[in-house]
Amino acid sequence: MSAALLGFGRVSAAGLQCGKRLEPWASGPLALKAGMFSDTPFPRFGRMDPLCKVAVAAASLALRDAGARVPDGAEIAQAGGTGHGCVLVDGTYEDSRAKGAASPASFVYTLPSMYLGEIAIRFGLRGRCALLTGGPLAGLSALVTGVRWLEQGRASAVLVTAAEAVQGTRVATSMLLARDGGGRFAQAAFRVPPDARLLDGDDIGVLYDAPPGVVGARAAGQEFSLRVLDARE
Amino acid sequence: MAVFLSEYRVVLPGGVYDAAGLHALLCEGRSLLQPDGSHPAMTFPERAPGHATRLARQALADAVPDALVVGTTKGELEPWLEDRTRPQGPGALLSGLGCDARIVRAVSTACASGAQAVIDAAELVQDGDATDAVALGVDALTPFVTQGFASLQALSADGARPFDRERDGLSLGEAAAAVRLRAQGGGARLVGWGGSNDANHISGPSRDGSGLALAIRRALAGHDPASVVAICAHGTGTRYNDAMEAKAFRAVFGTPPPVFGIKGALGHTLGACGVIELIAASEVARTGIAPPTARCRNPAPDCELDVVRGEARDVGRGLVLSTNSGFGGINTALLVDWGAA
Repeated sequence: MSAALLGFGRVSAAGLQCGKRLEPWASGPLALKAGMFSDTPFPRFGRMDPLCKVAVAAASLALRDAGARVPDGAEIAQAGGTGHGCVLVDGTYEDSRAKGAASPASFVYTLPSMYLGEIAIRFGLRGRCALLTGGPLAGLSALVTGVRWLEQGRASAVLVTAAEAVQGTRVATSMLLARDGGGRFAQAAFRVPPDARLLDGDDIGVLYDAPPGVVGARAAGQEFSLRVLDARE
Repeated sequence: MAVFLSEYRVVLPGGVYDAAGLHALLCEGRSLLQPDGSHPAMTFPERAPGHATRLARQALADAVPDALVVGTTKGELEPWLEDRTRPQGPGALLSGLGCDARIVRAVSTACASGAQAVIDAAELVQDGDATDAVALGVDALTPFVTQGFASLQALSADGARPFDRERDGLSLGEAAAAVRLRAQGGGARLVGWGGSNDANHISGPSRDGSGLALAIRRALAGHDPASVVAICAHGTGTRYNDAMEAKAFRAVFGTPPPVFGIKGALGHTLGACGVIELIAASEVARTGIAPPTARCRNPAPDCELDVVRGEARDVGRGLVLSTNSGFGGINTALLVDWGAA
């Protein structure tokens, strides 16, 4: 499996990362504001649920990192991955419902795929979309799926965004990948053992770390990794 | 490369149906909806937590495919509604299913989740990542969901009327459905699929239908649009969805083939509808008979479609298209035909 990495963005407790540039948090909890990653007004951002906010921020940074290399939005597909989905806004909405005043503003975000829609609206991305969920390796599955789409000619560019928003944690990694090389990163190589079980299992943990390399995944008794080579020109 | 479809199971409040049974039910033109537009499952009878998982188990039966792809909007919610420390969502449903498939995963793309599961399963088979795959769509009705749609004022006052002049909203339903996909076989074949995003509105369809048209064109790549004999539309019965679909169909086909929808009969089954509608479409491809659109009495002038209504219609054998759309602007299109091995 291989693909060209055109842009990389990441949001975590360590800060905002756009390609190799990391802007660490000064201190305190992660309180995302649109002005941290966007130079243009973004009034919608304030209405989004925590999962959408962290995912949209990471995607914005990935597309900013890609700069002029971003293809036409009609050609950009999206593969998303989230293990916990929208559990935070599920709780917010359920609280409103239990009080007899179900909140429509919260309800629309009670779908884990909504961040793909917010990213599509913000950047005009009209390609195919899939959101993989339900297990701790959903982000990894999204990455493998996105690269598959490129390999098989199902898309010429894919924005892969893995995101989690749970109590006390907000983290997202986004990568703009393309079939054709020539990005500021050299060819990214992904290796997955043929017998790797990519999905679910209580004994599997996933690590989104090691910037600007991307994703490592560790399974009990075996280690498999997806590594984006750091070879910026 | 086409992917072959078989072993259909549709779990509805009245029983479990195979493809021919579903087709016969739909061709009767009856509706499961009650006179006030509600669905039998909306009364929330006393039931043990884990209803979505039980529905999914019924649809999966004893199948142990190489890959299982579950399409669902909310997965299993009920234990979490009682106790927020309990697992919830698609992950809880996958765990509860306990399927021994080598690859087990969930996709969630709002009301296109079932169709997306079919696409994902087809690509696992097509790429040789799985020898066979089951695509399963499921969602259970809970107060969480019904009151949410009510808060959006999306529910019909007296039952969904897809493509009807007096349509005023959707009716929710509850179901699970499964289909097995293989690289080889006979009978119904999935010969094309496509997806897109409207990039327009977070909870409403694009007004011009261009996003869905894009998905349909992607599904039709390499096929003559004139060979499509019928369309199984998403057809929720909301003003905007049905009008949007009509625009998309006209943009792609000029004069679209006959259109039918099943949500007036079964309600909107959310994550299950994409799989059920694929099964309905595959039966139309097999028989050449399109079922009527239950509860559509007077076709809407703003849709300008040839809606199959009243009774089933002989549309002839050929390609049949099935479309779905969901919150977040996601569109899918599946294309089936019936052919020899």
